[in-house]
Amino acid sequence: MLVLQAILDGILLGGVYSTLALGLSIAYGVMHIINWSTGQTLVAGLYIAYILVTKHNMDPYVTILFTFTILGAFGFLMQKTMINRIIERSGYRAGPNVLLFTAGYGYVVTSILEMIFGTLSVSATTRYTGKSLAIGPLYAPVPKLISCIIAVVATAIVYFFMHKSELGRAIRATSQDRNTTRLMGINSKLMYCIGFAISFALLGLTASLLVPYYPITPYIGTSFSFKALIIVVIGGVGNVKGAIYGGMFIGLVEKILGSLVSDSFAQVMVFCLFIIVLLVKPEGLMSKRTSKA
Amino acid sequence: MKTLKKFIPMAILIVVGLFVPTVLKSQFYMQSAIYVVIYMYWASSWNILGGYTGLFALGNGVYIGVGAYVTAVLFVYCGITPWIGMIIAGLVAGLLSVLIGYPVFKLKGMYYSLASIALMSVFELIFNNEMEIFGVYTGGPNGLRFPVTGRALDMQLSSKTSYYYLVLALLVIVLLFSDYIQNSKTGFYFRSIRANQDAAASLGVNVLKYKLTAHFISAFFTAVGGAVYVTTFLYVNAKQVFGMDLSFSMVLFCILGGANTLWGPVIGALLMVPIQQALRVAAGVELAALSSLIYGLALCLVMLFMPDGLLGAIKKLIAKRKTATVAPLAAAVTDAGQGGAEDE
Repeated sequence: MLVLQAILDGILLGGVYSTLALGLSIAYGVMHIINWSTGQTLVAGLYIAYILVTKHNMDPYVTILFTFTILGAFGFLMQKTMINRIIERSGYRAGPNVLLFTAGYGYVVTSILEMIFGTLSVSATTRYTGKSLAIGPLYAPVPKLISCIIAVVATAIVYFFMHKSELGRAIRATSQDRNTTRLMGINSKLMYCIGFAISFALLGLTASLLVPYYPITPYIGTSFSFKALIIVVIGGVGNVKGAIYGGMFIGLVEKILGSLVSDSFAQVMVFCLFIIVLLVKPEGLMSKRTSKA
Repeated sequence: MKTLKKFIPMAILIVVGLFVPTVLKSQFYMQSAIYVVIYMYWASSWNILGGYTGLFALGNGVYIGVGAYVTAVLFVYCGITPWIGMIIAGLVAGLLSVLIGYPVFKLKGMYYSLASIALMSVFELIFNNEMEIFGVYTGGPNGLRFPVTGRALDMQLSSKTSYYYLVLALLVIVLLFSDYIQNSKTGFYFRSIRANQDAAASLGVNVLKYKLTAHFISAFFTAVGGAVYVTTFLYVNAKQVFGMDLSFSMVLFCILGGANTLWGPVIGALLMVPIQQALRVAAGVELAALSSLIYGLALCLVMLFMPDGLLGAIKKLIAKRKTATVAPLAAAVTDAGQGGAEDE
């Protein structure tokens, strides 16, 4: 029964992990850069959602509209004004330079949040807090259940957007070969901006999904950044399905090993799995065999 | 004449370095000076790997930790003095780096950086959560204390000033070594790998061998620094040595000053560490965030405006001055061709 409950918990956690990883995966997949501030951006979103919920009595799931738009617009501007510039000027060092830039931006976000909100942990009490649904002998906390469902729906929407819409196709084309798509008349810089905006917007969405049940401090970002990176690498970069499978997989590993052995053991195992995947199949477990230069 | 000119900055460093303790009277300032010099040292060690060879390792803190723990365990349980312990620690870290490097070098670009960070996190998690490692008590979150003997033979020096001279000596050694490497055949192999790994391989450079060499050298120096670092505190714990901040700091200082140059890492650390220290004091507890805000802003601004670091930016300015008077076209060409040929 313990194991079954752990599996359920793992799936509920994995759903939210998927949208988190999707945010990173799209940015990495499209521009081949790593956004090291994934977690910090998420935390900024969490505080926005927290304020909306506590000060304006908003339903946590309505805050998605705000976090999604605010962070999305911010991501667009950041890419347009800064990251595009770095990519252009850095040449072969674009990857490391953008990583360091976003790491610096992450420090800035964390310290600003610390100055505004202090170091203590806060959590939003919503109408969903503390309620849970009994499924046979198992318990599913209501906020986690709703968040997981929304996460899965959102991931599906992103999948269809990326694969069926004209814009999504253009973004994917840019990720495959930037120069050729430019010859086809696609504005690759704009695609970068849109890709980064989607990535930030998804982090905003994830923040709203976490706010009903996750205690917030300015420092939780780093662990989320790591989670996202691990999931993306395990699932396959720039691969929407990969983010879902990777998210579910890591969620399950954490919860099952956590309940059977210990949480710290689960964390070590997650990192070990990550290194093994990196060494054996760096293109990700879910990706098709493609030869990449 | 040229060799003489080269030694002028080194001479300035040594002379200024030796006179610093006569100006800084208090213990606090001496501790800050130790931080400045040890960060210069770590940034220079990273430069051999990240600058010259272009392997963007982000988890080099792991070698600080390994160096620190090996020295501590050898001293606490076997009574081996840290003077010998730090060399053993360096060799252990070097060996570890080769063992790690061998599979990891199959990975290219960002994957290599990711693997190096992941590895450091594994070490941090293990050392922080397990009380014993391979049956040796390392204290987990409580850390490990060095027994106090107060003997110089056990690297327990009487004052901060002595420790300062010790790290200064280490810095001079790593700089002399970097300079030697830079102008040696090995150094040219390193740079060929950075410029274009495949082309280097096709010209007969044993890429794997030289990558591992760079890894070993960098890990060795980093670990020796870690050994001395914890000996100044007579205490080691996982958060202190395996932290992400330490690893990121050495990369930041190196790139800020100018990666792939001898003096870049020194300049980077000289600029940033005093600012951090001063902010930590001036801002107090309630504004502790200010120091990390400045740190983050510096990182962002450098990446935006000086991707080659301070020295790189200065060099480019000089080059532009020279060419602009001759022909504007030439300047455009050097700008466009800065990709691989900007060094030296």
